[in-house]
Amino acid sequence: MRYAMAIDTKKCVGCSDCVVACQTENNVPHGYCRDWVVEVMDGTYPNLELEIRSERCNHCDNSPCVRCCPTGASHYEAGGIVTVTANECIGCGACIESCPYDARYSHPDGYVDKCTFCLHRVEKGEKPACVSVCPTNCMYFGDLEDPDSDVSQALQNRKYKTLAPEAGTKPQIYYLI
Amino acid sequence: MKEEIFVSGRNIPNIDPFLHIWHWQIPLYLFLGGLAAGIMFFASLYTILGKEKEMPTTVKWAVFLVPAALVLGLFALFLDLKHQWYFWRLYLTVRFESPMSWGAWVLMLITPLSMMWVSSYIKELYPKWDWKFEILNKFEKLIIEYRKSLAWALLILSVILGIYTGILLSAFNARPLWNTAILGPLFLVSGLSTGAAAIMWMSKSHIERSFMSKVDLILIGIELFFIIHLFMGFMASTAVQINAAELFMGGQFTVSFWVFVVILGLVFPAILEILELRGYKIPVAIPALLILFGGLMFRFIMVEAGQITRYLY
Amino acid sequence: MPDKTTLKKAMDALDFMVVVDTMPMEITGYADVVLPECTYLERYDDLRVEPHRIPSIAVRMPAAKPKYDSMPSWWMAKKIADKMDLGHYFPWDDYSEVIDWQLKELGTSLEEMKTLGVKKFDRESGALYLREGDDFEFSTNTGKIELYATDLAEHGFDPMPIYTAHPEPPSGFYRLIYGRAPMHTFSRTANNPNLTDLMHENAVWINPKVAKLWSLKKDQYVWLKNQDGQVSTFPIKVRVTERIRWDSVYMVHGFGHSNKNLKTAFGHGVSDSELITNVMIDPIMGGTGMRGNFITFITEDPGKEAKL
Repeated sequence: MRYAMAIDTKKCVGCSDCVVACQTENNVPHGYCRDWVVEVMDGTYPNLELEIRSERCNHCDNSPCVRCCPTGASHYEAGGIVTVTANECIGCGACIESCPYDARYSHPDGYVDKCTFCLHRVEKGEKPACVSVCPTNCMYFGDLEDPDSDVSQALQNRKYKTLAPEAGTKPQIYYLI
Repeated sequence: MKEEIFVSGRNIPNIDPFLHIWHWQIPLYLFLGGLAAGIMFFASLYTILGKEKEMPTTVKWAVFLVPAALVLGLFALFLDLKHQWYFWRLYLTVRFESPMSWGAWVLMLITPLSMMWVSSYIKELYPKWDWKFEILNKFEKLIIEYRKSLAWALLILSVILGIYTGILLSAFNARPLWNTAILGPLFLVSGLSTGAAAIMWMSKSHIERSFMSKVDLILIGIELFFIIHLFMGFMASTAVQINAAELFMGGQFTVSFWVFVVILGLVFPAILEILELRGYKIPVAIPALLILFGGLMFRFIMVEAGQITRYLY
Repeated sequence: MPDKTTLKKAMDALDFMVVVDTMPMEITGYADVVLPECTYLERYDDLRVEPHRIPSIAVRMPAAKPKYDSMPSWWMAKKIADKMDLGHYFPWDDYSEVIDWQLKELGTSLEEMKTLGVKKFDRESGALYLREGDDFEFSTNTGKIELYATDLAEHGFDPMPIYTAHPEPPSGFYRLIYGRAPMHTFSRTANNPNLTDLMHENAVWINPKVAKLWSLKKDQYVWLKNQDGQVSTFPIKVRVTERIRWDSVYMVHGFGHSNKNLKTAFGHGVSDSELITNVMIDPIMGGTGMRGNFITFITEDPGKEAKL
């Protein structure tokens, strides 16, 4: 099993519903976020190209944050989901420094917090909160090893990319371009 | 024109717009760790070489700084932790891939061993010292008897500690400025140089002082070579590393790095040391202080600048 | 609302003003009485009966209990009626009774709708599309589709559209275009903490050519002045972007609130409505056009002299 997400940059409108859904689902403290939206605009008026991406932890196959954690608080769950066990985390910040996506933050309670792919929902067979609220259905979640899963289907016929693959992290969020 | 923005209004404290999760605690910790490693290295090396008589400050007195620096450094590390009361979690596991884990364990070993080293020389410093308990006296005798073995252990540990202060940073591939293998040796040499400077400053023997001064000159030479090598490596590397190097070549860290670290912290003290070796009267405190200051600045700048460098956006 | 001065004059002339809304906004501050309404997720609303391609009825039902002191609007109407001795017009205790009666008349019930949400029906009003050979007349003078509108000609208007030049910005001024951001619906959401986190102020989009001309830098704050001398109350952040033409500027609507009671929204960005003092009206159908306003930039705080 290998959980992953595909996000259609052509369908995303940047409404940030995914951000608010995550904040409410996961009680993310005010002023923090586990996912966010990036707009990239290229070109000169009137020939412009816009890419909008909902970004979050890439749940990398080769996660530098898991490698750098001195206590094992950062770890892989089944299906490659990267999570942090709060009462094992000492808040040293090594994982935050190690993440090329700046996907982690120091929770006001001291431990390090991040996207969990909504593990608590996934375990119940539900989709992550961000995916379930997307008004344009531009996010696909599922098991990459299952050819019939939403994410495998989404990746089958489209060109896609990952973010900063040169950092060697083997990221698992795929952007359909 | 290329324009890129966070539309979600992402503005997380200490992460946006630039990463600043490590403040003064980590560079201070790295500096103190490097200094302790430097002093300990020379103390154990000259003990193994049997030079206790010629190098009393190196072997005996400067080492008194080591446990103090290590405890202070550990305290700085503790202050950096955001989930402080779980710090004991560090010592429930050994994570071979995590430099932070390595560091915690090395410090856990080297700190008590350096304290034992110091305790074995306390009676030479204060002849009237009394351990009060017979068991402690016996323990002291045991340490003195096995000093050479202790020196070997500390020699290896101090090298690991010195390299570790650099590897802690170089292990982060997400920060292009840090992600270079030269950082380990560079920090080790810089630590040794600050250690040598501290010894030089404390020493009352002219022979010992000028000897450490020569050692220090070699170390400064190596350090300068490593720094040039560091930037040559960056300039011949990927775009993100070229960007990282540009922070020091016209970017915001240009003045602080080249003036405070390279000129005031390395070149100028080296010139003073050469002049002193040639017979000019120069108070040893000046080059020593400059080297220590340069070492501290170096770590602050590397930690600060490294956090700004990144892959995306 | 555009043309705030006129609007304010009208409001000042009112004897009494009641605001019923789910969220506070600028106008709430002018009210004599505020009746906080619960949101659509916390109340019953009237039936939605759609005679579309597939006829359907839908009922909006509460998913949660109302928060704080907010109440559904039917409750407010009923209580006011009771006070005015008009209670007999409301012969029920809860609006769900009314909805249930209506639904029963339609051949279903609230109980059934609670399980369905939306009930679909078969079409009874005939075929959806015209078939070839069908006899059909459009409701125009000729009964046909009119490219030349005889109706308009009768009333003395151009029967065919004739190009009318629209006003162009004077030199040094730029057309003010306003629009919406996907994370804010209407100006009232500017006071919502979650949505403010996403976007807490608007920015004025300026083409790089214009930015260069005015030496404006990204994230710099400027004040805006329109063609009628109206200056924005607050400054606005500059965003230099190719996404806007060089003769126009753009900003998101719904910011620049000046009522201090809107604690979250107060003082962030510029209100486009404040700068819309020219509202053009289409002589044929009465539609309003508010993109005929022009602004220029003020880089120094215009309130500075007043403060000194």
